[in-house]
Amino acid sequence: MVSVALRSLLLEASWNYRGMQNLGFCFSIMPALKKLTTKEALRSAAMRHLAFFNTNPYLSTFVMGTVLQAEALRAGGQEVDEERLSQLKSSLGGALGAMGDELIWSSAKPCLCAAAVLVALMGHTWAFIWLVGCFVIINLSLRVMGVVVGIRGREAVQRALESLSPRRRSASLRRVTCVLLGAIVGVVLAGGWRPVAQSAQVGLLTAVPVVVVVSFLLRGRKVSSARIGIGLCLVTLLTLLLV
Amino acid sequence: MVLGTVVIASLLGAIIALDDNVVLRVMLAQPIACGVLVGLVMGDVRSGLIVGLIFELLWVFDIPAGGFISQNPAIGTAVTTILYVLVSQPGARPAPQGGLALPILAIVGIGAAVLSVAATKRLRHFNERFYARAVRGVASGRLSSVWRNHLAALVPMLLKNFAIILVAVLGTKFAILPRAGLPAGFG
Repeated sequence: MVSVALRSLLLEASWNYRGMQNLGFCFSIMPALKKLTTKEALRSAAMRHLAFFNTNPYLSTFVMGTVLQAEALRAGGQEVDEERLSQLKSSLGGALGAMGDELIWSSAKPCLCAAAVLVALMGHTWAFIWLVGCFVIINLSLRVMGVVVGIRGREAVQRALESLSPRRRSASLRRVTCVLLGAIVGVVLAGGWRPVAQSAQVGLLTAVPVVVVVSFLLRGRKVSSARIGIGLCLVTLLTLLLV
Repeated sequence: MVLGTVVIASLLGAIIALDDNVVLRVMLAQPIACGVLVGLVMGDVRSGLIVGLIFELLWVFDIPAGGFISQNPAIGTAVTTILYVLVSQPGARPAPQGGLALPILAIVGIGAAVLSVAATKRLRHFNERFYARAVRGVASGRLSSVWRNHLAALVPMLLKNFAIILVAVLGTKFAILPRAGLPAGFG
């Protein structure tokens, strides 16, 4: 299981337009397939899993685990319809792709990056270590969890994904991102580049009114959080480059 | 000495850039990380941090998901960081605010990142050959062709990143900047 999770870190190494992540999928599950099937059956199993596959890389192991469970059933002598297995792969991959893109790319990543920028502006040059550390934990735990849950079957995957409550978490993370970007604007307006080494406290005090305005806009939902975020980034960039 | 450092920094930038849409995905390719690491190799962590902060704010809402290829922020950050440290060497260090160095070099970095999109698209078409080879290998009973072809696809991607960074840095430093008539450290 750990081997599958670790190999999935290289899922997109050979991303191509015909099969997308297919080669990476087959590469990732190969150690488990070798244990599950006989040598003769391994070739046809590998050919099956070289078919088209695409999903969010962080959640890819949920599909891998589910597919491995089906392969284990097949190895145990049960009938597994190939067409159904292929449909399961594509439908689960599509759903996880959409969910992962929303939860990771458009919510968690901007939020953690904004936090890292704020920490760096307050004088911590190595703030990125914290950012990378967070993502290593998120990445590895999701991938290991994916294989463990996937092997228990589709229902277990569904329950695990429901417990992640992606929609609610995404919305909260986007709001936090905007507040963090508001704080960055405050810090930068207070001292330009100076807070990098000096006036972090003054900067944070200046950040308070900006954060209050941002929170008010978010509460009233007058403007989307992405637009507020982009606007705040532009203000910060212009301040840093021109003032 | 300087050329050797530039080559090592470019190689580091190229390796880090793989994290954006090829392997790991642990945010090493985010500008704030890439800028500091490339700056460390170039001997100026603070310049790397400044470039990293600027580019991080540019790409904070970037979504490198699925078939969509976004500009590789690590490539842009590596190019700008290396150039920013280089232009500051002959004279006084350019001030982060007020001078022209950062905006001009940021445009060069963004250009390199945009160029990487077209190059990545071509390489993803090229990767279909690895896929076809893997299928032929498995069909003839060689299961090792799966991992061989899968990992072999990393080599052209790494070389692409390295070539873009190195050409952008050396081209700007030796062909564009001397003819642009800009003051030392871009005043």
